[in-house]
Amino acid sequence: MAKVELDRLTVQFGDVAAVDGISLVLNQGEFIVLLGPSGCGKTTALRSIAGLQHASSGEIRFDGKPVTGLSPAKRNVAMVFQFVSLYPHLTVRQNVAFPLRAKGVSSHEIGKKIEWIAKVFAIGDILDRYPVGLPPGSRQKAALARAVVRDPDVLLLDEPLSAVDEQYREEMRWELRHLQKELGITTVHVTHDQREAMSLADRVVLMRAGRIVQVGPPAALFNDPADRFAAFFIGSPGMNFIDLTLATDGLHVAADQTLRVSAPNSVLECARAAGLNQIVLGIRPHMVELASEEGRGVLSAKLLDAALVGRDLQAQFALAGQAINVVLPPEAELRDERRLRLPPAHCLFFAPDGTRLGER
Amino acid sequence: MSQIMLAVQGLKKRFGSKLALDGIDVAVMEGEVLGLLGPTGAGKTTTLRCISGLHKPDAGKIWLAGEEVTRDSPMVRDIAVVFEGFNLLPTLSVYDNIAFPLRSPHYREDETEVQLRVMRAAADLRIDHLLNRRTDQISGGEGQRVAVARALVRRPKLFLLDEPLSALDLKLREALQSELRDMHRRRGQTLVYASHDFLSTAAIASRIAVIDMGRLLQIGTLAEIYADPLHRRVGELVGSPSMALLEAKVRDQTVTIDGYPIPWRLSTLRVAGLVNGGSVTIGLWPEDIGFSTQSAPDFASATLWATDFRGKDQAVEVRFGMNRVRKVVPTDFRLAQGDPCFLHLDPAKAFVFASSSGSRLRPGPDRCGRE
Repeated sequence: MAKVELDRLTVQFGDVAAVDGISLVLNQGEFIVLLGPSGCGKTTALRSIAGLQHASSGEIRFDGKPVTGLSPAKRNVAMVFQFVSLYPHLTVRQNVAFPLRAKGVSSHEIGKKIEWIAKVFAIGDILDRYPVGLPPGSRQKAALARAVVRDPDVLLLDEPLSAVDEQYREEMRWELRHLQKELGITTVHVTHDQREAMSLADRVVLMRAGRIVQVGPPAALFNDPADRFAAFFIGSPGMNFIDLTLATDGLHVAADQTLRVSAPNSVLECARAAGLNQIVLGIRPHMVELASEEGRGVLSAKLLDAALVGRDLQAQFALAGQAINVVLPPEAELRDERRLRLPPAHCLFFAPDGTRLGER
Repeated sequence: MSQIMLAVQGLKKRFGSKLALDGIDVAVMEGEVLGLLGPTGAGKTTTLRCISGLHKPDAGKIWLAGEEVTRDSPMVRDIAVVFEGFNLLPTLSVYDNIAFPLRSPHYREDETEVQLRVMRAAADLRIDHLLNRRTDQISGGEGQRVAVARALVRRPKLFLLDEPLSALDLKLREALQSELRDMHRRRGQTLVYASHDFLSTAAIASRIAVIDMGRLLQIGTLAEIYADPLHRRVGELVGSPSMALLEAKVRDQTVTIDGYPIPWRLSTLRVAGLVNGGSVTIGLWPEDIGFSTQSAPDFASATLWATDFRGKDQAVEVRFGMNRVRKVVPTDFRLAQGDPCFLHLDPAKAFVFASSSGSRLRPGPDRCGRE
């Protein structure tokens, strides 16, 4: 268990900086998730920590000691990949014992370790079975047990859940979260699935094009996104973005002056100072409310579609031609024409280039 | 007028020693989206391949718009299929890929009509800017859209989509999901959508058929399934989080859930004829489980096993005895793994399943819980 520091880490592939000078401190025992779309550099960053990828510049330190030039074998890291790579000719017990035997740990000590890990992972009943024929969740757990049994400084997880069925994935998410807290091992997990990131992470590192967009606890990324990309990428169903026009007398929904929207003064000042006349309002679907009567901040909209999804009613409205998704309680009454309210406390504002407007 | 577009009766298919389909019966109305929900290996793909004619069923019949097509070749069935691995033709442009089915000998259309339809499908799926590209010059998500567009141009009687989105990353999946729904709203096609993912199935389907181990366990709207789940596997596959399934023992007119200290009187359960000394599985939807961070009457104390932050809310898992429950709670509950918590399990909300078969047990003299 170690504190891990990335200091202006850059990995260059030809002209392209896959990782472009990122700095990050992972506290001891912390669960960090590197999140982003394909090609954002998250896997390259993980492979650099493992030593599988040579850093073009910058430094990586474990507990203050530089490891940047060390081979993977010389760094005390454990890595679990998307596809479980257990040895098929060995039982789960032999698989888990393998890294300990390779290190020359005594049989007595190995026995004790396996007893401990089997209890933590609840895999006692499959220790003497071969990987073939085990359900994917159990195989994945065995692979994790093998990775952590030798007390690595850092556990690195490369999309370990992406190849399994949704049902197992959810099971494994719960297991992983619980086990990481039990073990207290510094963990870096890579995924493109924001649900997984939110669920697992103490802190999420959202990446795009080799750079860090935002770092913070899941709730901070959800409630207070750094820019439009972060707002778009986090949350499901995704945030609504509504084009607004900034006129001299205030804001209204683009293409309809009657649909007036209020915004904090800081947003208006910011937009005016930048000379903007178009800005974007962001609001999460579950924050939009149905209003029963006319009033300040109430907008009339046309209902396009509604369906019960799980126990939510998901509806789509048109607001002056712009689609807006709304998640409502299942008992909500819908008519063709509805009045929507966008509670000011839950509205975010962005410039056309995606930067956040106003105070954060 | 709505008619039955697809009917499947008693479909069976065996591969060697494995019985892949064990008598599937389904009817899909015109304009309906039926979700086929089940884990990998449940028989979803085999069902779709039988319907499209790519597999010959060992037994059973298939009707399309009232005509029996069981023995017809796939070429003449008026069905479009999108499979997970989307099989685009690499040497052709996106345009020619989409146009391909319209130029096949069976559905030959003249080129102005071809162009019209390709442009419309491409616009629907927002790939009109890619029409001149080769398929190896587009991304996975774009490729998936091309595959859907190619299925759309033909205006067939029925669309079969087999895990069409599962290879895509989440954001693309959500975008394509809402495009599919949008398109369905505008064009009103009949669609069968197979997936292992409850949320994406629920987002697109008007009714859901739950399938497991080659058998159809239940078919209905989500509301119907929530109100009356027929099998414990249905509870496991539906919902997010899914149904809590609790092991319990029947003794002396009480039902005791393992690890839960408050026994239930047998008479409070909506089920008759449980045998003294037997065991049952109790099913509770997460929404029906009482959860509190403070002690209260009829609440039993427990420990939080793990928490799951989900953005607008959070889920918690609580373990007791050999059981566990998961539940969605508001984010303003400040909770951490290992914290104490309190649970209330209400017999009036419980569904009772046979421990061995997993079938629902019901009130009444015939369907008693003897095993």
